[in-house]
Amino acid sequence: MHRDEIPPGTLYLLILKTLARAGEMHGYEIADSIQRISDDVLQVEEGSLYPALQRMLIKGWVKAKWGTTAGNRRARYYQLTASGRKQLETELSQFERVIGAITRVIQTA
Amino acid sequence: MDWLSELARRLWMLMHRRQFDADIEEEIRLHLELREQEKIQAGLSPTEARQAASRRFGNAMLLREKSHMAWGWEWFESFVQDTAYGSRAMLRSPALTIVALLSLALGIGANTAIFSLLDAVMLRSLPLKDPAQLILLGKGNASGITDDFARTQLYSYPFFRRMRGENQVFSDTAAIFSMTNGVHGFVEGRSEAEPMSVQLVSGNYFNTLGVQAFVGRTLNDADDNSEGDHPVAVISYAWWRRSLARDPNVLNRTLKLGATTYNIIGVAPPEFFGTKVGEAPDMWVPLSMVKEVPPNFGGYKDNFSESLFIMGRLKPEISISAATSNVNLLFRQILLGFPDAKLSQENLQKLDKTKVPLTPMATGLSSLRRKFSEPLQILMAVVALVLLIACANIANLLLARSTARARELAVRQALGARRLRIIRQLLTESLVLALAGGVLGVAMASVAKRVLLRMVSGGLDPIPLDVSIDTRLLLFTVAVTIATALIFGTVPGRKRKNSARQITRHLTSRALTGPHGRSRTVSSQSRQSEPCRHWLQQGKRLAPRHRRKLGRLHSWRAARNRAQSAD
Repeated sequence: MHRDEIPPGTLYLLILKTLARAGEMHGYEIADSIQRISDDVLQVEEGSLYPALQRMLIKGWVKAKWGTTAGNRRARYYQLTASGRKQLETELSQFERVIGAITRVIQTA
Repeated sequence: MDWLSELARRLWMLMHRRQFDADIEEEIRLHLELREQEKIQAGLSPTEARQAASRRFGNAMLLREKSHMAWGWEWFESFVQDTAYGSRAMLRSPALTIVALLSLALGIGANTAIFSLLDAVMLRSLPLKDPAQLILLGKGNASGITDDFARTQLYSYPFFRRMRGENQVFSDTAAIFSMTNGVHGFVEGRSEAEPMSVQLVSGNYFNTLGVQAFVGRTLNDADDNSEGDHPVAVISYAWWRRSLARDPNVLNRTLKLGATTYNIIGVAPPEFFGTKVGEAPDMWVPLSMVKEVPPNFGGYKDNFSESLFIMGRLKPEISISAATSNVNLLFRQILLGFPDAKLSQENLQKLDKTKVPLTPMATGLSSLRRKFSEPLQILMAVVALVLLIACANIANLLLARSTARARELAVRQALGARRLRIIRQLLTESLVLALAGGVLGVAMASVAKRVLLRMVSGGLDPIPLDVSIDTRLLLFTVAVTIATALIFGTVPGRKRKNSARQITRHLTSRALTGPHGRSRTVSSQSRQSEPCRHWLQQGKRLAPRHRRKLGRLHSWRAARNRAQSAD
């Protein structure tokens, strides 16, 4: 099955949304979750998740703490902060605006 | 507020960066292992599973580096690293370092010291209110007493009085005795005479200059309105400190100069040293006492005892040419008006020919200037040359070193160091050198300044001159030398465009020919090196393509403090 790269700039949005839904996840789960929910269409280049997460940590959108996985492994769990939630809204409305505009352009006969 | 907490997080990261790196590494390892497990469960062999996981993940090392760099401390880490490396490199070639540092110190130190002296003697304005308004009658290039007719350098006290009263161009006009009286006077209550330099001035001297007393009052017109009965003195701050130990009760103390006892009425402010650069009087006494202060010159009422400098403060709206014509008109009128003027044919002709030039005296009067202006200018020129030579010296040394380091840099670049990164390293190294030189230069300047002042003074006592180091010039020389160091220090970095290719060629040919040159091409040694050569040539072909990627790797390593130089 062909997998599409995610559009540039939407990685933050995907991560923020995924975390907002799940509450707390480690990197592997985030990547997996994005892929599963998008029915395997969207494929995050898994590694690029980590620099992105670091940048989000700097911005204060997420916070991280170490915990244990179901398989009893140490893993870093990420969680949205208040400003992360706010950012999610911003990114969402921005995304919708852009998509709406693109859609209108495409559908105009 | 957001940026503040962001900065806090970044700083936190900087302090715990080893932990951060370890965390990311662990995180990525977990990710890869989980993916691998998943693939194994899907039926792949362990090797295939690992490869698949790694493929999906991307370049783990690069991503780790990116995660680290996201925090934005790369510049700082490489700066610290480069500084450390630069210092080590300096210590490794001590001869070069010492020579370079000495050139820098000499260039900066000597220049600054000489310029500061030049500035103190020739350029700096007097510490007065609006010094630019102060005008001297004549050129101020003579001192003493004369009775010549129509002299423009020196004037008599009655002339001063009339000039002061009748001119329309100066807001105030003051007179200064052209010599400082060296007196052996007594501080009241002490039995031993002390040398004191006494400056006789008109009563309005301080007012004309706009100088306020530090303690008590300055002289005023009343101190100078009748001859011989105003025994008062204003002492200098320096003398107050030196001779009276800053006695707060100074206004109740007296001095004995010659036969007369003087009341101290005030202390001049610390920065005020009079109007003659290089001669700082200990005290100022009104001209009315000219006959009483040893060596008792007198001439207070003598129309032709010419011994004074006259200076005026220009009214704001008056131009210097307007002032000149007014002063010259009065000069003629006053001289002709004196009843005892010897109006011989010769003198009248002389008067006709004489014109009083007006000299701006913002920078003060100075016999030092007469004596030293030319030598100082020559010295300054020489020192400018010294600076030039110092710069050339440093440039040369750095260029020589760069040739010696060509290989090191080529190897670095071949390993994938970006050119900018190399230039930055060279820049930091040069900066370390230049800053060390700058510090030495500043130290040198303050020593050289004292030595110079002693040289100029000649005698035992240094000339009382405020030769403070001129900050602007210091900054200028430091900037010039540092710029030289930076420009020439980075030449190798800018030069090495093709060095990656060069180094592979270099290494390949070395591998081919062995250490003893071409004659041994067919020796077993070179046959042994055949695979090596093949490998290098492969590498050479790949190099340009992968240099970018390697570049990231290189800087990642640099960031991790792991890259040690290939020297």
